[in-house]
Amino acid sequence: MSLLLRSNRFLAIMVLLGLALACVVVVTPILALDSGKHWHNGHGADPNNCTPGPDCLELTYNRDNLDSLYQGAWGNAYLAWHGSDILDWTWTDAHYDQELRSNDNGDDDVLGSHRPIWVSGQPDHFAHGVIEMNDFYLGTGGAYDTSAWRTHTMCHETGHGFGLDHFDSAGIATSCLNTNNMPNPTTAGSHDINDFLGVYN
Amino acid sequence: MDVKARVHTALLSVIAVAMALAALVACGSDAVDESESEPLGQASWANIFDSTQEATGTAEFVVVGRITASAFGRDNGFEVNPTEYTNVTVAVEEVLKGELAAGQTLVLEMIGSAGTVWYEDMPAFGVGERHLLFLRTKKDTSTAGYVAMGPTARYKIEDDGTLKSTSRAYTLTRTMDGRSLEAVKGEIAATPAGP
Repeated sequence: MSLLLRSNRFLAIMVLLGLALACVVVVTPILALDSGKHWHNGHGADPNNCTPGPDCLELTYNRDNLDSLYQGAWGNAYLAWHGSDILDWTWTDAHYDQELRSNDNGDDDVLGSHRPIWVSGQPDHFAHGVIEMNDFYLGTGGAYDTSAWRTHTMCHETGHGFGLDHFDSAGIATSCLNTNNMPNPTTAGSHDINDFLGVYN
Repeated sequence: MDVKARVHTALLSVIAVAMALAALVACGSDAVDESESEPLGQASWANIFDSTQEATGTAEFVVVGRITASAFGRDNGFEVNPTEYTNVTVAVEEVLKGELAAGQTLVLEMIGSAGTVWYEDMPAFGVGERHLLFLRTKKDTSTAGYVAMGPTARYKIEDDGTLKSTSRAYTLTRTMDGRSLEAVKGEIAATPAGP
């Protein structure tokens, strides 16, 4: 009887362990969906700017193909994200992580976009990225030719460039990744920063 | 411990190890699936509609149509990592708004292309699929004549007559998911004509 009890207890423990392991296997990818795209933690981080590791990301941007019309929007986006004190950005003409560019892409219903280029063999790990502003809408004379739209779109796409996703919440009016309040959010709000920390912490 | 007990314990141990291995194999399978996924870009859409009425009021044309072809359309001219577009051919089955005719063929342009990158919320259209589409004429000189106005302007029609959106990120796409086409057509018909 004692042996039987011990065996049943052992079996129960093993089953629970198996289930727990199965849960980890099943649940982990689900949780990872929100933060699947990312740079290495501490990517490129200069210790003089922040401590490499979680909460610290240093990306370099090439702006050779970005029209001067967007410089104000870029400056605002830099402040929006850099003000969170979790990022350091540098600008370079040579080796860079992201290309910022503007172009008349035509009437494609897209104001701006972020295109990831993966590390080979690591499908959600950024090697490079292209952030593009569409002059057809945002440029001079376009239907969205305002500083607010350019700033919103730049903040939004640079957020995607960190690996952050859209979210939709009517109650959050200060987040440039919120698809519910366009075009008002021109800065990164606490929701965006928390998303960032969720990816890199 | 007698022989029977040792056999019992060994058997249970084998079961436990097998379960652990099964879990690890499942984990490995996930990794394989993930590695096969294509890069997925993200976009800021010019139009995000919150209601059927808003989509109908903004669109020049609202149609039910079947996708008959999908092919590379153009790129935006950059030598490195150009943005690419796909031309989607639609055979119009029913016109719910606008001066089009059933049987007419339209060519829509959408961002993204096969083999390079598609964009989140705007996946490829499948040939043979039926869709409810809110469209407008393109105001540029590209080869396609029309554009589907983002993820809140396209809904796949399932075999049972319900709509399926491409995204859960927007109010309208969430509310349209699972609704019957007939019910939505009623809303479209009831939307007042624009100014």
